[in-house]
Amino acid sequence: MSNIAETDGRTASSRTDGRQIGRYRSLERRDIYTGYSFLAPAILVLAFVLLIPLVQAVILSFYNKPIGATATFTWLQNYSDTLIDPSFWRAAYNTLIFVVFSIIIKLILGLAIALALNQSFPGRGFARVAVLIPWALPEITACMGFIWLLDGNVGALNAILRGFGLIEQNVYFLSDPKLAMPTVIAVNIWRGFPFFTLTLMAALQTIDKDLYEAADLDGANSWHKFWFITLPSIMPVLTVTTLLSTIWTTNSFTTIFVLTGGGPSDMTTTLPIYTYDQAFQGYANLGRAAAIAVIILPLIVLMIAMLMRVMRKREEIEA
Amino acid sequence: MRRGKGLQQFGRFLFLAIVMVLIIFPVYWMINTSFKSNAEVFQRHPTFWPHSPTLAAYSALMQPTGTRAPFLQTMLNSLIAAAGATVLSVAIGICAAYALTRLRFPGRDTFSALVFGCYVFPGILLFIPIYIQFQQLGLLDTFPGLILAYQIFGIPFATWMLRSYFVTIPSALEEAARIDGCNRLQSIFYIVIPLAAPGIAASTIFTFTTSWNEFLFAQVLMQTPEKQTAQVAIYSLMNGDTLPWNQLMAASVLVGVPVLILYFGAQRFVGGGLTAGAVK
Amino acid sequence: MIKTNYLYDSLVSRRAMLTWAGRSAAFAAFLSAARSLPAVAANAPTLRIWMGEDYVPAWNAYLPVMIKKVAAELGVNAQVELTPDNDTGRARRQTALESDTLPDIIHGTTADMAKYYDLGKLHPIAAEVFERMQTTNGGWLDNIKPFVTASDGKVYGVPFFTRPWLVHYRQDIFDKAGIKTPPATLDDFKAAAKEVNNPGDGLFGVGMPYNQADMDGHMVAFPWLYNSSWQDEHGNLTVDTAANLEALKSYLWFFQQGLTPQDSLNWGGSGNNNAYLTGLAAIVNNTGSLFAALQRDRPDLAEVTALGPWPQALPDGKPAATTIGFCLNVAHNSANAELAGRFIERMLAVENMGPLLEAGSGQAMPVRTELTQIEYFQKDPIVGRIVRDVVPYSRPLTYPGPNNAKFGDLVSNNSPYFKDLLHRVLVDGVTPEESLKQFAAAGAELQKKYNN
Repeated sequence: MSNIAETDGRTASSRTDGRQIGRYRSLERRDIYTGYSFLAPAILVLAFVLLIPLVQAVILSFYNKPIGATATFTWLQNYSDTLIDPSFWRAAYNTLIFVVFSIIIKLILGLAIALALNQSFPGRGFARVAVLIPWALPEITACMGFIWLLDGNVGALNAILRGFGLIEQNVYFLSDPKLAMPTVIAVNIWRGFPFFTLTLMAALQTIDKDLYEAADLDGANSWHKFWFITLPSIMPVLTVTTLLSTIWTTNSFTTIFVLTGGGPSDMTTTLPIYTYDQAFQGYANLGRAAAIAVIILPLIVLMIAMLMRVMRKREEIEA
Repeated sequence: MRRGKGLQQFGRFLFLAIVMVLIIFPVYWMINTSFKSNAEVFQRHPTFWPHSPTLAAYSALMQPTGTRAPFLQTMLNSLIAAAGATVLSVAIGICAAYALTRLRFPGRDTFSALVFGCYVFPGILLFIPIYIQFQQLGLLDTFPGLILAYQIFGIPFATWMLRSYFVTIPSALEEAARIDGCNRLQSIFYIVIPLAAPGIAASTIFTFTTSWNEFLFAQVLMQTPEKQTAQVAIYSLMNGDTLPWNQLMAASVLVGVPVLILYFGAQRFVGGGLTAGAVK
Repeated sequence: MIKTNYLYDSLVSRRAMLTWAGRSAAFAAFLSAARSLPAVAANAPTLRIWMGEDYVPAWNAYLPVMIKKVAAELGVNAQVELTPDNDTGRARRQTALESDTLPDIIHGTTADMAKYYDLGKLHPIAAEVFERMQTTNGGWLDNIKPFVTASDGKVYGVPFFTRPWLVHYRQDIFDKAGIKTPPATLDDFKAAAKEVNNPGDGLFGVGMPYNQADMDGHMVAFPWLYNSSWQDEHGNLTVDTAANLEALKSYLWFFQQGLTPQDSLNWGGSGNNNAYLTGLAAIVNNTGSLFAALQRDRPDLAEVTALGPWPQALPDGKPAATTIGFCLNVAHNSANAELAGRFIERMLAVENMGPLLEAGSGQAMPVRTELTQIEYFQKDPIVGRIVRDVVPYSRPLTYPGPNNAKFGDLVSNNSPYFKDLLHRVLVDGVTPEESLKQFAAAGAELQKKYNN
């Protein structure tokens, strides 16, 4: 109808589909109009529920705002208070430990399982489905289950370990200062490795089998094949998955909150927990909590930028 | 050579068997506990199979208490909120993803990055301003309000996921349709959407489960017992001093089962969905 | 040495326990039959009322009925909600505070009320009602006024009920060890806990909490046992004193001696209850929630449980009975403040409050003289003795000073400051002296915050 003018088959198409080079015509104005109108619902809704509260939160960070009381303007006081608070740096350190160990182990474990599932064997179908379970269970469900399982007095894990003679006395997984963080990391790994496994399984499927056969002919062993064929092929997927998981793990709140509440003392207090404490526990200063979030934000933005760059680069390669 | 292979097979099998146990045992333990009576739960030595299995925990959940509606009703509330949020997010996401992949306009890449950035912003700080805002607008304790709040992660996630699917659909198909006389909307409906169906299905499933599992906003925005979602109802079972573990586990099981069924049933899509954007 | 012999010799016999349970059940049945009440006119004024969910189902069942009854009497439309005592309920109240949408009538602990008062969220009508009710029907119990009095000497809440903490003892275990329970002094208490402590066999002497929860029954009271307190009678904090240091060390002693399960560092409100319910601890201090759970889930243990206040003779010879106070308040921006005031007064009438206290099966203690005389308290052996022997010596947590917000923040249930005080020593290895100093510093910060 009105688009019959585009008969030469070349239109201003999406740039990511780099096969065709766009030719701008009067079409372009329509494109812009259409583009904005398609995007409008998303922008409007997000402006309402995200942007405005976000701006309000940033403004809040310049005030002292106890719950229920009126706000008093304190300019940068919240920021300076946070940066000199040793608990903040402790929380930052805890977050680093939590994220680094979680991600590394999730990666290795997820990859190992994906590799193991990559070949046929009886029960493979069941295993591939079962691997989904920790990811699919709601966070609270899983955490409640683990609190009960790990209980130091009547928990099943202690009973099992004692039954096998591995321990003499009950282990207090969630309240022993030395064990709390490893335990919380372990639960996070349990919940998170399926994400790696699933994405890597799909990635492994796309590797050309011929490559392996060629390598076999050249006398390569398993390790060579893995290192020189498998790993490079899945590296793009691995990178994206890792970055995404890192962002999620850094923001992780509910798991630690339900399991230990940040304790004992501040052994498992990560930055999100620290923020919540400042907002709602006895300290109760919403402005301070907002400032903490603003401080953390650049870190998250950095990770997102890296993620987007990697994804964009891959799309260009594939074009 | 064959023996090495056999050893490898065995090693792999053992490894996977251990992993399976580690995955399944906690779930088994939750289900196990949900069928125990309170007295049995509080024994010193845990029993691996209920001595006198009972549905007491489940039936207790079905009764309303002063602060909690019958659990099935809270699950219905979760369903309404999650389904509504998903429909809205996916619909808006389709539009937005289409715009970001098919149309050229200034600021497109910025929008792309912004939309994704929204997804990873920690929700903890947002809920007080949102509470105040919604309260002024009379959106508290309403399903439209909660559904709107869920768009915070719903729209970015759906958009991002759909975008990766749309990218894989060659525009040549659409152009062919347009040459044949379709306008843009028709080409979307008849070409793009059917081709992206797996992606749309995956986005739907993921958005739904994320909304179903969501806790923080549900707790803050839906406050009367009749409107509570299931996740909040579980948490509110932790009332004061005594935790009814068997009820907690039973509630957790009830809440987890629909999600598991959804994932298993749509496992085809899920495998593809998780890799959207990661693998072509 | 003064002998504190209130409930000590009376074990909870099986018959008494069944009476309690039976009573609750019969009561609940009666109430469900009595649910039909006359409807209220459509254009009647509306009162939003938030009450708290309790541990006893019969209470939760009767409370809305009672409120509707009063509403019908006064021709009012009452919207009742029960908020749970957990993070969800707390979050709800916090957000209501934040957006200034507190209900017309709100129920809470006296610590909550101090805070709301300090934030200017309460209506002064409560004081009028308090005065009015002082002159009717025998008035309030003598020791009730401090619960609801603020630092400026004004009353800001109408007392509703109190809930004393009681120490629960496993009489069977102590009998077997040949120890007389309950112990008369704190030293006897410590010795008894140590004697029966046998972690290898899965028994700890005492289930003492060392985390945020339950501090109002433990760390608040310990200074009392050393003739000290966390604030003086004028409401000034008196944290860093030699006697309080003794109290702190004394409290830490139980953990350091391994007399309490190690995960008490991580306990929520239910930790010590669970310890007693699973037979893990021989002594646990808690409010009636533990006893309710015992009757419901472990009647075998309920049978061998003895009850009593903290074991230490005090100069005046009276027991140190930590008590939480609950009161009713009116929001400062309520459209029907005067009506709310009258509503509260009717709620506390003996014909309404009496059955409620009975439904509570001893989880709630009376605050008015006439209420101590109801038949339930006269007849029931256990609860009656608590009313006679413990309630008159109930002390608010703020003893000997007035209720105020900074004190509430510092020492209330779920205070992170107590948690820090204890964890600094037990986890981070700080000395008790130093930890106490830091606790005092936190108190000083709060003092500044609230005096601004």
